[in-house]
Amino acid sequence: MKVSRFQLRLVAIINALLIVSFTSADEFQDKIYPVLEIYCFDCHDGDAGKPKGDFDLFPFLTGADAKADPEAFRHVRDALHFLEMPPEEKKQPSAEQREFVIDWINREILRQPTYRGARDPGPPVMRRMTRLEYNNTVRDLLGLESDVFSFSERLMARRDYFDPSVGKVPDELDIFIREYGAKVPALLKIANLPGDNGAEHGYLNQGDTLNVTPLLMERYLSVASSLVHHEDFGNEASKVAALLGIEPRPKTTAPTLSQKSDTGIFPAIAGRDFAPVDNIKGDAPGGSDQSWLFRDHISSAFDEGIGGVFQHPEQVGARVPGKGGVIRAAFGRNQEKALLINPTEDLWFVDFATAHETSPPANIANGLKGVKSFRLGLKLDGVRENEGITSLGVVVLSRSKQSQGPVTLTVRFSNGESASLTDEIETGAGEDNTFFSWQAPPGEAITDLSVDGSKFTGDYVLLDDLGFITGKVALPEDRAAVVVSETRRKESLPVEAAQKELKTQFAEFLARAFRREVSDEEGALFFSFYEKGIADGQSRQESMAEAIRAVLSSPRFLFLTEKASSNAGPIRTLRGHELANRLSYFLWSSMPDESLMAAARSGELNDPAQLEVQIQRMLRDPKAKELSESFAYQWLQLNVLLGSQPDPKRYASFYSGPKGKETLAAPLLQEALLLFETVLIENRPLTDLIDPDFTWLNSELIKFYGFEKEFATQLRSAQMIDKNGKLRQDNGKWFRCRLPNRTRGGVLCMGSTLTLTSLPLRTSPVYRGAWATEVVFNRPPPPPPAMVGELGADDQQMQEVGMTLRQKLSLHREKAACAGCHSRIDPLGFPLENFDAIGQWRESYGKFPVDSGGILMREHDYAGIVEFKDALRQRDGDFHRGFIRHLLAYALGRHLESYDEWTIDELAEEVDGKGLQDLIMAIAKSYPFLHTRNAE
Amino acid sequence: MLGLPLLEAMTPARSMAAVANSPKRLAFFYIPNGVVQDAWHPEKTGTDFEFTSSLEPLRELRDHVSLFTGLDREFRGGTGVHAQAACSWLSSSPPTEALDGAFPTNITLDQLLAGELGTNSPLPSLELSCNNHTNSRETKYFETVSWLAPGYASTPEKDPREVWHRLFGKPNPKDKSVLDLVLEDAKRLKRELGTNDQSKLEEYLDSVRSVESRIERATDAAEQRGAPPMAQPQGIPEHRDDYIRLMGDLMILAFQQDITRVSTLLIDPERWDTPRMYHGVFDQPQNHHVLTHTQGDEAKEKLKKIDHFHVQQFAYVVEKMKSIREGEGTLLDHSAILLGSGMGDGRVHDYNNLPIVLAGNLGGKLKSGHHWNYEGKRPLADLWLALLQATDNQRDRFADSTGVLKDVLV
Repeated sequence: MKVSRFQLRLVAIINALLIVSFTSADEFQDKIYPVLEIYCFDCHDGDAGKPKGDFDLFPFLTGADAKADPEAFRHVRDALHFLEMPPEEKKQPSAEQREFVIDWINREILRQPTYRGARDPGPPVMRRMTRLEYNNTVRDLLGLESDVFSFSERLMARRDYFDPSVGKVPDELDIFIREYGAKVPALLKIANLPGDNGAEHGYLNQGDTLNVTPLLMERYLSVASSLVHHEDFGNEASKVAALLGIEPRPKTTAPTLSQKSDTGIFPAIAGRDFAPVDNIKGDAPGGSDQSWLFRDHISSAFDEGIGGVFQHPEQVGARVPGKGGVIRAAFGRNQEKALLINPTEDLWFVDFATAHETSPPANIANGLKGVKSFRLGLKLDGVRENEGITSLGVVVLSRSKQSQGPVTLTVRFSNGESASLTDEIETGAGEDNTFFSWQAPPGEAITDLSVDGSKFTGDYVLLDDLGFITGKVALPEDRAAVVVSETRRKESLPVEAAQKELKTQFAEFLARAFRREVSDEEGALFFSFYEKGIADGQSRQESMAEAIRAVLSSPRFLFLTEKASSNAGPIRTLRGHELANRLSYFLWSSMPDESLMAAARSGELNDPAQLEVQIQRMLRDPKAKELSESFAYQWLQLNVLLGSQPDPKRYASFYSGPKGKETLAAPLLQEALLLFETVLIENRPLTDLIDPDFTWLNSELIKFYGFEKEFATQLRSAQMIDKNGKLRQDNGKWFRCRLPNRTRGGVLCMGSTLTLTSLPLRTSPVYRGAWATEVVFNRPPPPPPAMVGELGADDQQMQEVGMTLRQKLSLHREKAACAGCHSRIDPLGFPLENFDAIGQWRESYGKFPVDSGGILMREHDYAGIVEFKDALRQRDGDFHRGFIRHLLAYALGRHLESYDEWTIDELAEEVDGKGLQDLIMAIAKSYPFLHTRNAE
Repeated sequence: MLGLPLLEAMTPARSMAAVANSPKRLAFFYIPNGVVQDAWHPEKTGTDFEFTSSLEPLRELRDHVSLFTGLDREFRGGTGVHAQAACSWLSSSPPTEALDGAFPTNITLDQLLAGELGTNSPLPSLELSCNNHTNSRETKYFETVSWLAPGYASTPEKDPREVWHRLFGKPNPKDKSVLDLVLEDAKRLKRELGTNDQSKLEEYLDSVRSVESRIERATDAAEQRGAPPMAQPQGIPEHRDDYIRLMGDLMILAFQQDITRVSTLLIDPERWDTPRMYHGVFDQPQNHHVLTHTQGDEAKEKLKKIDHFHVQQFAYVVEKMKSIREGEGTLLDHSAILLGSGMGDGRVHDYNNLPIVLAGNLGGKLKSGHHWNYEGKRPLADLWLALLQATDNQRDRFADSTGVLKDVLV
């Protein structure tokens, strides 16, 4: 016999009356159940048939039933809150009823101590590092200046423009963006780890998706092995050089060129661009490279900090005295190295109207009229002894007025040999600018460059764009140097004391690697690996390298772990080092630094004020860029952009260069990240992410968006408009642009996100809507059912039969089966219909006008993107909560559960109207961030 | 010549037994920067094709090779032309599928094959490279044609000495002791964790144990194998032809002894722009890539010589496989060995008319002695699909294939 709902309910009521005292009547039964019964049971009563959307309210008869399934009631609450349920055509509860049910669910179900009588902070962290975290942790642990390997989480833009230290982003930035897959500075050239597979709607650092497989284990071993056996390991891994018994090769410090006076030193910055104005007309025969190739090499060398282009100092007309004057061209990742140029004759930085520079405004010429033969001594400063100039390129400019004839340039190598190139320079300004280049034989360096213009008819030989690349050169005593320093170390201490010191050093290293304090026993376990190597007759360096390799392969290094704990209560506060780890992997995607670990050890970190100080410090560190490149990149699903392929014919403006090799994906991606980074660094309100009054653009994006006129004044003052009124193509310059109106601005209105949510031949309001519900409200719709009708791939074909995509979609939505989700998704896609499949503005689809109106959450009518933004702004609180969910899940490295709603409410209240840094701070001080469960 | 002659007598008994059933072997040799088209592709199709000047070294192998003209790949915007030519050659993903940034890379054909043919061999696959440039001018996208997953490059071995070690040496005992140590540490860690978290660590422990047992198996195999069939090479031979041939010899040994069944050899990387000697061909070092961008007949003649040189080395390897008796036929009969490039003509950077030479019958599954011209109507992936089907893989689609290239299947 089937028991009816009525009977069940009757039993429940009687039970309640009998068992529970009369006064504490079940509020659920009295006030909630009746509302559900009237408005929900029509469709969601599993007793009466298959419930719609597979959501069944039948099992919930009492408050206790409801409390047993908080996830279901979170669902009820959200459906009510976002006015998704009951369906529009059905009977609706009053606003008060809605509010009451929502409030009751929040109060009685979601904000309850559900873990052994305590508020649930979630389980302890136990997960392996992601590939990004592995790279960063190894880098910081070993003190590498570069990444460990190249990997796709490292994006194309150089990171050096990102400077959070002063809390303000300047209005102009120089950003260098590489081609995807181009060389990035990395120690290991090929060895790498496989990428991580994220969960759907989750972040890559979500613990339960980070698996370890035998294959991955082998890769950990082999990457660690490649690292410690890298030929330059001792020099590159500055933080373990002492352990290895290596003194890093000292860097030269003083200019070693003859230097009579200081007056000739010209500080100069080596740029990345070789001949940015491409008016090179030919290559001198016999040169090592062609100019366009050399340009490629220079840009990656500059990127790696091993080369650059000498650019004249600001003052045109300046002179450098010969025999004693020194030009310093700084280069290196932190401008810490310099190319020293020491001329034998006076030089002159000059700008003749009769020549066309390849790097305006000036070039180098002989300082004395007619003295056309001179030599430039070339030395490096701030580099290791075994580094030298291995490749050199320079342009000789042609000039009008009968300046013509052969010019010979000769470089000398460190082995005493030399290489000459001669080319006949024709007359005419810029008509015969000629590129000369050399490469040193393996192991040798280029030591000087001689210019012989004696047979050239002009009075001056004009040189422009002196580009240089440095590399390893052989030193005869190369091997000896290391051995000597090792012996020296050994001699300085008696054997036993040295051994003890080494053991201490190793224990310190181990503590850094494991990011916590290490017991003596544990230290001894790993140190014994070293001792065994020594006993087997291996060198100190080899034995220590193997010990380091073992450390890098061990679970305590590869995993972030928190103890199951010991104290008796249901929950506990995190220990100092656990909190330090959570903080640094949240903000830096890397290990804690020394200051943070010290604060953890001393207990300071458990003091809220000190915690704040640390967070502030960390947010001002360039390592905080990972919040943008890892979190924001995933939040906006920007990885999809790199794979987007708009139709090259219809959307030609997305492509440029030969064969459409270059796309706008990289600059568009950069625009999106710059918005996030500005909001982060300047602690701007979260709503600036969706409705700011500015955006970041470079010249190609200004053109792409058609903003040349709007930003004319700004561009002119930045010298981006040339004499003919044309926009200069300098894509490395980015401007913070005040938007003329609200049709642009924010993550919904950018080329990047609008492209990644489109198909090759058309926009997709459905993809866009689904993407936007996830990004803005963090409510990803369920995947479409299998029988879903396919819309055409190309909207132009649909238009031929007299129907727009939108009309087809509304037909779709009329089907009841589809309406549930699509009434939720589509209203977030329609307002974006004025943007085409690459995000450019449009007013019509062919002959049909664009209809970008709709209603958001049944309440907010909008006629287009601007009104849609108004509607969103009326729901700021919902956006805040959505964003908080994203960032909290990322911070905790786990999927959020219903018990986290409590925290989300608290955070939403706390950061209302405040900035992104305030939110980060609040998350780092939130209950689940500071606490964890104790194992039962 | 550094590579030793391979006499049947040198093959240990065990491996003779192992190859009694003559497993299928596949190898892919990559040449960079495309080829001089008019000196490569024959005019005539069918069995009556002529050997062009670049393919002349294969003349004696007429009955054993198949030539292809008009197989194409589609370039996908957003990456370098050279990088993509190489790294997507064997994955041939459709341009719409860019799983590694803008690169349409995916698991490559050789790795798919390794997953099926190589599971019981000591090495599922062998990745070789004759790129001995030391200046690391380019990236991983240039270094290998073999990819385990999107963005996940294999690490090719460049030093014949190391290759020998991988094939015939014993595993490094240090690996074993590292594993013992971390296992010990993991056990201690486990005691600190709750039950849920222990299972996460268990994954790690299982992985460590699995690697350990693989090392043990390899150690045993090395011991059983007895004396290696070849002395350990001293490093990279100075002469380019010796270098490439030695790598070929090692690969052949690995096939013969059933140490692996799938191999790739990157003869040279795309672009790279570093001059190298082609011994016996030119007196001076030549920069292959720069030559493809140099105007004039002189550069073109040089390019033809480089193409010819590469084909010569390939012909050597094929000849050698043909000379090795195995079961009822020869090693070549049981293999498919392919030479090709992901770029058609380096001078225009196109992916059309890709040069492809296929040798061997793969145990009677492939036709040879033909030249086919598809006039750009078939994607390269159709050939890859044919190779998959020839190894009894039942799939009917691979990457951007439009259908299996039935012509080559017997």
